[in-house]
Amino acid sequence: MSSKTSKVALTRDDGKRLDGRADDELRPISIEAHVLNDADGSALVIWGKNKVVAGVFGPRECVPRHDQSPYRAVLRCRYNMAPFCSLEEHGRSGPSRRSQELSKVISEAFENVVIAESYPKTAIDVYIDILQSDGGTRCAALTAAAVALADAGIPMKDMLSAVAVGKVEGRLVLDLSKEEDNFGQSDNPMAFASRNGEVLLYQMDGLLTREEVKAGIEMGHKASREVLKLQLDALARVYEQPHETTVPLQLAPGQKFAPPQPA
Amino acid sequence: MSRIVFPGEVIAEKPVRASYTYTDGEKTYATVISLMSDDGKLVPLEGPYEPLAEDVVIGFVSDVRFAGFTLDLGAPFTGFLSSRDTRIVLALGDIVQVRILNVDEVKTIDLGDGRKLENGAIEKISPVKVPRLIGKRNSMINMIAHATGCQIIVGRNGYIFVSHTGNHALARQAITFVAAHAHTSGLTDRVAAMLSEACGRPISPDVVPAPAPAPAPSGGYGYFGGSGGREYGGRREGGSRGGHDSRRREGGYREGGSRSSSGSQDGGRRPFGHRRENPGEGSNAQHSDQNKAQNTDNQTPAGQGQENPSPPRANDQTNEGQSQ
Repeated sequence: MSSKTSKVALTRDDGKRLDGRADDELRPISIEAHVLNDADGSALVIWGKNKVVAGVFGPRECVPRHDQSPYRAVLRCRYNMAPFCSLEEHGRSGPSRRSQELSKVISEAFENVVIAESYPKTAIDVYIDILQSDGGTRCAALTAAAVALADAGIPMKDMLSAVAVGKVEGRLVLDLSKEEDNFGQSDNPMAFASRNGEVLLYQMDGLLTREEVKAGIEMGHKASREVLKLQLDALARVYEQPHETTVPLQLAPGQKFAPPQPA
Repeated sequence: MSRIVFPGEVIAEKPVRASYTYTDGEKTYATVISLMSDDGKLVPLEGPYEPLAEDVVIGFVSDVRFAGFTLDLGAPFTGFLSSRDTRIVLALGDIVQVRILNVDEVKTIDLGDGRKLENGAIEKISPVKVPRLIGKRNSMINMIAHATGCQIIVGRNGYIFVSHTGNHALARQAITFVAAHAHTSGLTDRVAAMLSEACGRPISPDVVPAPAPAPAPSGGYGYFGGSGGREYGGRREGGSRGGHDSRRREGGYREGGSRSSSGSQDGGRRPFGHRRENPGEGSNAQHSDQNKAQNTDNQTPAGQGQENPSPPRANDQTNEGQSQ
């Protein structure tokens, strides 16, 4: 997440980005809901080279008791990077300063969305694990968690979809990859409510001008509608094609999730 | 034709009071992933169990205390079976069928009418799929019980007790199948086909024989106290559908636990809940074997019809509607 200024070239000779995308193009995203049999709701998001799985448990009894509220359910998201998810500084497991921050901001984003008053004294636990990371994991994590919560049947006012907008070599670009995140000028993850496009999360690492922020939110909101469509498709697929949960984690290029057909 | 709606999706352009929705003053939105029927009712496809008084549920003992037993009901909240309300002695892990006496505003669940269930295990399904597992007039659950020779007791919380008698592996398989395909139509026939193939003899929801002491048209096989309040879907002969039962759940599913078995071994037992003190009040009291036959048509227990005019819990009825 450091915005080191460096001489690394982030634009190819043909004007495209390093992975061949246009400035306002998302990476390929696959979402599959209901991937874990024993969680109340779950989702797997493969977002470019990111692989994120989210599992929802609850509402269930809140332990420790001092966390519980007599008025509402507490929403506890735990963002965790697997020790094998990347090289470099993320290659250690356990709570770190970074993962605690992400757990907190993700929980707070969802507190605007989940209708928690129906379940006093309980906790809704959302476990988000990053299996493989390549920049933009918090957006993938938010997206996965939203699908998992909907899959669990937790009452929500909205779906939530997230995307990052950043600045690379003076241009606003959508959905930063790891290189663009590390060596670009700015990274702004943002999350939107599906119903009215409200901004539920906005973080800024590296500076943007006011105009750029405005344009960036516009760009992010447009892209979040695409993400939302994929989220809803994944949820609908659970019921259109009931199947046992078997998901290939490694997809061949161009391959889409194809749930096994019922016999 | 019903369609799937997602949280935050507009289901009406004006404020409407309905289950599983909310309104911002202008429009109405869904809150959970649901099937929306043409009349705008939502049937949730997934979701936690919402405890309601008078539900019959199945749980297991998660804590033994001086004053009673804490039961895990698979709900967001544990239930408490007080020693005052029961004479049975339970140990950790025992499976119990209980009735919810009361749920207060902080969702403390008081339980009563405990009955220990032995020689069996719990199969868990999502509570929103329970009406589908029971089927119209218990057709589905009776068919599974009959085909497999198991005693199957369905708790409203999605915990299903399956006895170890009979082909319980097949019973579990059938229950899992129903849960996975609960939102599809023509399910009873597919389960019948699956059971026929597994058993090597034709199984049909229609030819399930009625229990000997109760030649009731609506009575299921080996099924106790199956009048009035037990019938999911509200298709009652007596024309008593709707109206009198203004609890959230239409169709008057008061007792929750549909009890179904392969028959003979349970023939002489008294129905669950016979110890209640005021026989006029609850529908339980009317369910002894001898008056079962004449009471099948219309049961509106006194004093229960008027309270609590909240919207119906849509799942029972609409799920039933798809079954054939």
